[in-house]
Parts: sequence; structure tokens; C-alpha cells
Amino acid sequence: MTLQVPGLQMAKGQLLVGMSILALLMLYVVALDQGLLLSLVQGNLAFDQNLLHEITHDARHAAGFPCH
Amino acid sequence: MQTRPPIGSILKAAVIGGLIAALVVAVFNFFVTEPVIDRAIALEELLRHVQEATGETLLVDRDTQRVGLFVGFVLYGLAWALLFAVVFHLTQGRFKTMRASSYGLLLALLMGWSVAVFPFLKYPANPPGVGDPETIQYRQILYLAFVMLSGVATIVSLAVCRYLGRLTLRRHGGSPRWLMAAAVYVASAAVLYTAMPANTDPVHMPNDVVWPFRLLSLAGLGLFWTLFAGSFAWLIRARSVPGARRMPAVPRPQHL
Repeated sequence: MTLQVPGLQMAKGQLLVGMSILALLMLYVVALDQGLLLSLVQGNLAFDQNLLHEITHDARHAAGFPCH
Repeated sequence: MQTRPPIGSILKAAVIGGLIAALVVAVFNFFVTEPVIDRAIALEELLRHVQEATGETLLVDRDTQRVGLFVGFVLYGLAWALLFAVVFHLTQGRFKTMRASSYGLLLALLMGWSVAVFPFLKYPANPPGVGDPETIQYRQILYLAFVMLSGVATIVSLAVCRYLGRLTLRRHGGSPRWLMAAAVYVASAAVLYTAMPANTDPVHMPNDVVWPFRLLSLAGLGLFWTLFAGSFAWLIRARSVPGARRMPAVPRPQHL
């Protein structure tokens, strides 16, 4: 079965799986990442700089996720 | 006849609702919670200077982090909006007697309780300077496990509710099965709450920083989920009014 979302057409199953993966990735960035994601491009530097952690820092604390 | 909103409408209502809630909560935290975070960071640095003079330079300064507050909450809002849309779409047919807007409101509030408020009661938020960097992975695993198990408890309870609804073909008001489901939920939530290990990190910060922070954080989470639930229900309502479905392209043959 296919369905129409404005501007895009795909099977409903694909859409639901895609939405879920995207959502989990975003949650991972805001709640958990300690450098792993950027280490794919930055290498070990990412674990020292911990950029995603630093940028989402205040939201991570305010939303109640474990931090530091 | 109740019409079920299509996935496109669900997605749109959820994303808009998630963004509204995220921005409002980010503004709330920007004005109310940030001063507490600043106090905590000032104290943290004071403690660190006493212990050791670390030569680390800050890559991301406080102003960038304040912008990051908005970035973080937009990610939070979008992520939960998408997950909510998936769950809503997959389960809306199971509770046929409810309007889409009522079911959306209920589901969003249950989700907010399960993934944000209940985990908060077990592992309350802490301001900067409280967590021990050595235990971050352990605390993240505990938190994640708690969120997932809490979600499972809610889903199982809703499944029990629906199963009982099927068993009793004759309807009698509906309240007994809701009560049964609530009992299953309270029991499983109590087991989860007591069985999960506590966060053992010592809290070195003074109480007049920690507790205001926790209350504001909890208020922010409550605000996010009620706003999200309310906006979604309001945005999806046009799709849930009986007979609101668009005219079919081909007219149905009339039977008498």
C-alpha cells in the first residue's frame, strides 16, 4: 500500500520505520551522545570535544536526562 | 461513524504540536531555569578551582549553550512527536469508541507520564555539577532502561484493557476494564519503581540550587507534555468529527 504525504510518496511501512529511526536518532543526540556520533567524522577528538553534549547541555539537564 | 485521520494528518498535527510545546518550554526554561543553571555552574567552577586548576578551555561557551537549549528542545519535541505519531497511527483503531482527538489527548498524556514524569520521580533531574562523570554510562543505562520498561508497563496495561473489552461482549459502562487496567499498571509501576537501582551519585550541591532546579525541570516536562497533548488534540479534531471525511472521488451506489 502506498500513501501520499505532501511532496513524497512511499510505502506506509517505510514511512513508519523511517519516522521511528529519525526520532530515535534525534533522541540519542539530545539525551545520550557523549561524542560517539561525531567520532565518525572527527575521530577520537570527538570524545574530548564532546560537541553534541555541550550544545544540547542545557536542554539535557532541563529535560531530566543524566548528564556529566 | 468515526473517521480515522490518515497518517499525513497525524504526522502534521504531531509535528506542529511538538514544535509549539518545544518552543514554549524552551522559552520557559530560558527565562526561569537558566539562572539556576548559571548558579550551579558558578558553584561547580568554584569547587573545581579549589580542587585543581584545570587548563581546559571551553569550546562551547554559555551563550551558545543557551541557544542549544532551543536546539535541544526542538529535537526533543520533534523526536517525541514522530514516535507519538507512529504509536497513534498503529493503535488508533484499537479504541474505536473514542474520538481521534480524545484518544490523542489520552495517549499523549500517558506517553508524557511514562517517558518523562515517572522516570523523573525515580531519577530526578540534577543541575550541572552534580553528576559524577565516571558513572555517566551507568546512569544513562539505568535511565534508558527505566524509560523503556515504564513504556512497556503502560502498553501492557492498555493491551489488558482492550483484551478485557473483547472478552466482555456485553458492554457494561466500560469502567470495570479501565479499573482492571489501572490496577495492572499500578502494580507493574510499583515493581519497576522499587526494583530499579537508585542513582548513587552523591549530591554535593546545596539544596537551594538542586531543589529549585528539579521543580523547574519537572514543571517544564509537565508543560511540554500537556501542551503537546492539547495542541495535537486540537489540531486533529477536524479530522475526528463524525462525517468529516472528504467526499470519495467515486460516488457510492445508493442502496435504496
